[in-house]
Amino acid sequence: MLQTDAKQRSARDFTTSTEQLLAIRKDLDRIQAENMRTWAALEHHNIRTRELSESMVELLSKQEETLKKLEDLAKKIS
Amino acid sequence: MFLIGGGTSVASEDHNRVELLSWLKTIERDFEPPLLQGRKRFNESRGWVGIWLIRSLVGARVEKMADEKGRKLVALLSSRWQTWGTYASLLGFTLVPAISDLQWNLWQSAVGYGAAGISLILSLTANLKRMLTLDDPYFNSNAYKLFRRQEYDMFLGYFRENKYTFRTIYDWVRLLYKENNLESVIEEHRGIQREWREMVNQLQRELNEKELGLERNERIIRQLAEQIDSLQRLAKFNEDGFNAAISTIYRLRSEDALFGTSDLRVLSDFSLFELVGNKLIRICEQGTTETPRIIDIYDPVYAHYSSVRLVHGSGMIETATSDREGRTISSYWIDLPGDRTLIYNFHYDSTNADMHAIIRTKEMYRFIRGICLHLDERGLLQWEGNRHHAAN
Repeated sequence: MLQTDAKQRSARDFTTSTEQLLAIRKDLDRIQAENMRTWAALEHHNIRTRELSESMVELLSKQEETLKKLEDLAKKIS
Repeated sequence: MFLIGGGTSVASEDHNRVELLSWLKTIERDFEPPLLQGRKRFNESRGWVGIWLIRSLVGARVEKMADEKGRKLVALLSSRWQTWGTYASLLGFTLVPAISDLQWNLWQSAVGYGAAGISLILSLTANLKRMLTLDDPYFNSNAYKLFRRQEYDMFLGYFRENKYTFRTIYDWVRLLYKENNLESVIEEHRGIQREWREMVNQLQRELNEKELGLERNERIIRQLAEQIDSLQRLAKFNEDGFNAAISTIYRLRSEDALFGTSDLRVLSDFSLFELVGNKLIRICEQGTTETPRIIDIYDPVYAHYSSVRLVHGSGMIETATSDREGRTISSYWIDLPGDRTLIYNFHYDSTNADMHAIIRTKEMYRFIRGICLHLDERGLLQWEGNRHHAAN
């Protein structure tokens, strides 16, 4: 049985320009939020990397100290 | 050879270290507790004679003595009970002759008063002894200074110091040995190596995370670019639609008679059919190559056509791939007054991804339907066969 009455036919497949624009706007908001999250995470990693680099400098001087001690001990033994 | 010599030297050093630490430990264990107590009570400005006499002869309130078994006798002799007991005995000894007929002879009096005197002397001695004992609560630094001058001078430096103890010396020496001991230096070095490894791993993790973050950022930028494209397309579509509507309005003027079925070519090549019974009869087309003039909607040959699927379906729009390779067809269901039903088909390249989005807009549907309404009003929507007959 053919549906010949247009009023009975579904128009749900259609959209309006405004709806398309709103969809784009919504997507942009989502992108912006995701972007902010990503930047926050990157900033956190930057801080962590900076802290690690500072710790590495500290560790380097500690290592130098122990090497010096080892050198002194080696001198004593010889 | 020198290795053996070096080894002996290290072993001897180890022995010395153990000896020194053991000696320091003994010093700390034996000297520290009483000296520390003495330090707590050390007060150079506090007198001692008054305190000594009051405690010994009056039995003023005394503190509890340090709990040491060997000093129980001293504690007893220096207690208030000893003093008060002596006075009570003395009082009793004095009052007995007054309240009774009993009279003490000289010898008895000498014994009684002598005992009381000895008791008080013992109390004085015990209290003085306690004032000279470092870990006793009665310890008095000035009494100590007077009666134990040499010890006082020896310990004065310790008493005046508030921070350091023998324990501190022991700990420092032990730490110094520990820090300079080969095993501990190697262990420290290994610890540092472990820390290095952990840090490198952490850095690697941070680097990976950053890489992921950058990838996420790239994806976001791509998505942003896509949205910008979408906005551009939407703006372009609106502009094109606006211009097309303006052109149609101009072409609708009756004196030029320009308006016709060619105005239906809005976005792409097109074809227009009318649904009559079980058949779709072509009214017009532009740019198509294999569009049949008549389509039987029950003919399986045409079953995959978007127009046929639209007729059998319940929607207002349908899309299908064309028989012509690389082409897509989207169809509109259009009702006209007078119970006419039209099927309008867009014929466009399948690669044009935006086209479908534009065709799906209500504005485009209403635009095409509006043109069809005007064409119908002007009697321009005739089947191709009829139009040819009319032309003939």
